[in-house]
Amino acid sequence: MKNRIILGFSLILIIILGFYGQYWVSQTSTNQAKLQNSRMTPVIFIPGSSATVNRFDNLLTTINSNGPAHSILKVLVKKNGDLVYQGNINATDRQPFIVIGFENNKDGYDNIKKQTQWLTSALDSLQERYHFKTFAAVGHSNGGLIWTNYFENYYDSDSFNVPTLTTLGTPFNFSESSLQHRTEMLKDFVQGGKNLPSNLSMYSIAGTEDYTDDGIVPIQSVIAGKYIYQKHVKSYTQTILSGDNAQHSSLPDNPEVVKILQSKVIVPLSRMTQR
Amino acid sequence: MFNYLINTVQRWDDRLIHRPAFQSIALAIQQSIPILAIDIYCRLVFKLILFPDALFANILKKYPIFPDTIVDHARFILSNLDIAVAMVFVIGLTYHYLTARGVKNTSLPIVTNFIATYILLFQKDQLPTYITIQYLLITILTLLSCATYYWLHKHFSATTSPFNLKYLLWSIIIISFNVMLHPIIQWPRLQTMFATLLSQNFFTSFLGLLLIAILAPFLFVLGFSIPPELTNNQTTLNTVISNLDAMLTHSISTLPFPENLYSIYGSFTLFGGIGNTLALNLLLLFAASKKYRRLAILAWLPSLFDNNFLLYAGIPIFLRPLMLIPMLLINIIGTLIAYLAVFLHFTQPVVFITPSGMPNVLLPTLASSTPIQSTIIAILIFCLSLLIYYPFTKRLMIEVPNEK
Repeated sequence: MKNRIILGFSLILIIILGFYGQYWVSQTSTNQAKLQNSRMTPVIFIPGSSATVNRFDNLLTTINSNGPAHSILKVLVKKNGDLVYQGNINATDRQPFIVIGFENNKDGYDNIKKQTQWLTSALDSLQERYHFKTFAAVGHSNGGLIWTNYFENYYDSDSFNVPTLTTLGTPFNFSESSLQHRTEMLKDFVQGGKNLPSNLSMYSIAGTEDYTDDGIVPIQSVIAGKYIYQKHVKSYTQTILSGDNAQHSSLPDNPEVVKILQSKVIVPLSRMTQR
Repeated sequence: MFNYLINTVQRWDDRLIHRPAFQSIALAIQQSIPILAIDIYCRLVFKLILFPDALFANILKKYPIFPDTIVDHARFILSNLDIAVAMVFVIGLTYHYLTARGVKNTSLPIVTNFIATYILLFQKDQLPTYITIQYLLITILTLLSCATYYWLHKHFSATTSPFNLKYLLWSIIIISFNVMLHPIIQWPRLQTMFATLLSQNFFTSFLGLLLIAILAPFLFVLGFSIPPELTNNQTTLNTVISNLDAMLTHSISTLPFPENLYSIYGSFTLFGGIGNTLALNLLLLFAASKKYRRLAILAWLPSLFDNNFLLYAGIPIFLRPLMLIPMLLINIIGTLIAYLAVFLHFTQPVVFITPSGMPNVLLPTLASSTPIQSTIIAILIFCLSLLIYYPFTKRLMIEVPNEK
């Protein structure tokens, strides 16, 4: 009698699991098929602290005026995690630009950790909405720190594929001008370097006004990125810009930055969509 | 012919189980069942409910996410339970082997083997992440240690203190030997090599699949640590990923590797664990022996979710020809039927990924694009497994004739 009860209970359990399992398999397969067949490969930008989703307006306008126009979608992540969308993505556009900004855009390591969590949920929502798997990442200033924290602690290569990360004036050692003194954040990032995706090509761009800093970020703090990325990613390239528009807040508008983004990010990514 | 085979196997089995060393092993492994049951049930609960990739977390919407600290504690508990299982086995084996030979004071060999095994398997915080207890290795080393201790005991006065310098020297040698063996048996490279090897195209051919179908029960019954690709995790193999990619990208019915480890071996020969032991568990639920019925009830739920270690220790399956032969037959016949069904296009191969922790018995139904045909094949193989195990379990009952 006891055995029959056990078998009856098992049968019911198997049927319930089968029902839920079937639903999971069909949902997952449909989503995976959409991702697999998706030809959309956006470039996703994150502005630095105190900046809004409009931070890259000049840069994106310049890129669009030089070549094929890309749709621009701006996503503001509210403090409660809600997303506010501005603009839209053209149905035929395979390479839209998406700017993700944060309502709480304050500076500091603790806030970068919070912003990374918001970024992760924003990326998941965007993927669910637009069904893309591959994208290129660009971060200005603290935006590069958010990307770094994301790649080390939240990135899942089964969900996303990111071939390039470009950082503009990103202070990997905050305002420290000496590499002898490493901030807690830099220590954490160096330690987490082993989690970085091995297929990532990293371009770190620094600006200089007087070969010591870009007016805000010490050049040594940008260069500290090598301790995080080198030997863990596919390639790490450090570029130092000087002259006009090399000041920290002008970096996104620097013509050399536009060229680098065109040649190293946008063109290679569009080739991937034509596979 | 089949009767002759069963009789021969039983003769081998009888010879083995009446050897004093095997009796010590059987007593020791059965002594570890209570702690093993705690280990297995904790593992099951965590796998279904607690872990981030738990079955219920996958299939239920709005499922609570447990904090990392709780999950880390759970993993820590599981690792320590694994250690406890191995240690109880080692202590039991040392005690039973030596007392059967008239050694009265077994405290030093027990302490020595305990430390030696701990160092061998778990040194430098390298705790096992799954049931990776290598029964054969532990058994051989413990028996070797016991045999050398017995030799010493025989050659020195029995009245000598068990903590005499000579015995302490023996203890140091045994522990040092295990320290030296430690780096050799920590096999991360071997695990990677296995994954690479099993991704080779050879294992999408009938011969390759047959080889695995035969090899897996051998490794299991002989007490080797089984690579995860042969127990529950074939979905990371390149050939399986290629199939899924092709299916998702083109929805094509002609897959690059229709017959592979996932679609044949993983889907039709792992119901309840290696050798379709869910069928064995089902038969034992209705066995004449009360001992086996109780074991079957205890092992049923883990078996349903493909963990057969309670049967492994309770019957025991370890080193038993009486269990190895039906497993081999089931795996060979199951592989043949599943291969033919896919090859002759009776069923589409299993290709989709199912949620982690889902019972293997549901895999053919859920993960094939022809679920009805795949279910028919699964039921056929399961029924054949019952038929094959049946005469062997009857012979198993002969061992407990006095029990009502």
